Amino acid sequence: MIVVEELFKSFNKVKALKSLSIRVPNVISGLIGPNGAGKTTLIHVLTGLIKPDSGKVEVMGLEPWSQRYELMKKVGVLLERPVFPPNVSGMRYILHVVRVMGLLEKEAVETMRKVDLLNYAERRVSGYSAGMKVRLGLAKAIVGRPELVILDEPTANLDPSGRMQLLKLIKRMHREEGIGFLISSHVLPELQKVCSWVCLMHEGKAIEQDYVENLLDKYASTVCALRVSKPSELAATLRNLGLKVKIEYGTLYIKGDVATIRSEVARLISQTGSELISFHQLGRNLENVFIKALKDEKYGG
Amino acid sequence: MEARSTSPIVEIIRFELEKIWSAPYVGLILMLLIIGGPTSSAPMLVEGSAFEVVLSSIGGFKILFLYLITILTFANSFGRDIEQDVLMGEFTLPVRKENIFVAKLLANLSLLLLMDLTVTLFSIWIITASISLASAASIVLVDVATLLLFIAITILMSMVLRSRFGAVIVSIAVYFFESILLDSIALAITTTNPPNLNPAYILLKLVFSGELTVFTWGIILIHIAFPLALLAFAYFFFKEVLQLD
Repeated sequence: MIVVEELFKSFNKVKALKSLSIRVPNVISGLIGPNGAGKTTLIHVLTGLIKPDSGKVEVMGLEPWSQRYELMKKVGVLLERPVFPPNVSGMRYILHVVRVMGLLEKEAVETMRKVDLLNYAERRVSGYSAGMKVRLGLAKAIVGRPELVILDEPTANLDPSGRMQLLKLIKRMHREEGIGFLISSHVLPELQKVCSWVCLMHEGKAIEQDYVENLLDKYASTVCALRVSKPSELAATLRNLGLKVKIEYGTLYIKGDVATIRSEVARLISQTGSELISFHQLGRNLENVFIKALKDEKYGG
Repeated sequence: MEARSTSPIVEIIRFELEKIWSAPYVGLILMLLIIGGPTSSAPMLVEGSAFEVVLSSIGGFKILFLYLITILTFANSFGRDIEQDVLMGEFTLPVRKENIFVAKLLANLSLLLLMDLTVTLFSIWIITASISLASAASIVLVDVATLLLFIAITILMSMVLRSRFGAVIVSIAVYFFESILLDSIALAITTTNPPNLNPAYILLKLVFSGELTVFTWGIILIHIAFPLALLAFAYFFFKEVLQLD
């Protein structure tokens, strides 16, 4: 659990965080925002790397700057540009982390297996690919079985398959070991795939924060796009029910209460014997949420 | 799950040493030192006593090279430009900042000591055809005392200036400033036979003969007391002030 209240942080004249207040639950959470939104600064504050100018910060009940040592026993961290000693092997590096943390050495082997690096454990880090380095960083973050893992742009340098692999790994660790994650990223579709909760940041402030489903319900459009085998018949029936319907290139666009549209479409399809090809609510994604929340922030709703 | 067998500080020192030892340029540095030590001492053999020969091995090429290695090593270890990411990695482990500072200092210092001792022993053996551990240890001790000022300046400047390059430049500037200052003093006190005011020479005289002069006190102050104060400040800065952004 992370609690941040009225947090301010400046670097010379640049105000990186401005009165930021968030409460992050211990699920898979996301920090969303464009470059310069203050995500990395916030992560550095949360991990005790920098001292806030003012405000309250609590991570797992601890104050990061003054209790960094105690905090790092509970929280694993993977920073944006993880740097490892190039001339030692991946296993030696994780063994170093294990020894520093006072854990059993078998934990190193177990962790390397978890991140699928066991086959490359004895290879020098300089010979690792970008994806392997991120997984090594993740191994370092999870080796002490932390309660929370903070990841700053973990997928930034990964190819699509590397991204998928990492996201699967995060989901699996959350499911099997109950580890909470806080992931910062500006790649919204991938966050939508893994996160249950998100905070949208812009210019050092949190403009929206909630569970993903709640945000999607709040900001998604009231238009549904529908493809069926007999669109004209269905459109006529829906119009008779008082719904606004438009047909474009064989796709029906229906405007109205989404729950009503869903139930009516399901009923009518079974009645008319039409075949449902696809159904989706327009704008039910984090990109749309972010754009609309930003618009609300700028123009006051 | 806790099963601590070695203290974190010992493990960090061990890992630092492994990192440095596995670096590809270590062999080259050792080779240059081994060749450079005796070579710079050889001319003294013709006219000098055994004591002067030993003295000469701390001067010339070896000490200059050792000095350069020292400032580069410490700037690399504590520097805040490229190495900031490395420090960030270390700060995200459950290790106290003070332990990281002490471990880095001890690891780099012990490696330099070991390197210096090896090279000095080799130089003495080449020059005198015998191995004198006591002489070698004295010379290493004096080398460290001489270098302590530059170690402290490099560490502090690395963190304060947020730059390895800046730290190296400041350290080199102080080195030349001190040389010029001591040469000026030497010229001022006598015009016929200026005494050797090299800090290493003065400290070695102290080690061998216990000769305390105003210059010895001056060198002790500048090269031991002042660097220790700087190191204490650097330690405080690292622990309480240093932010990695």
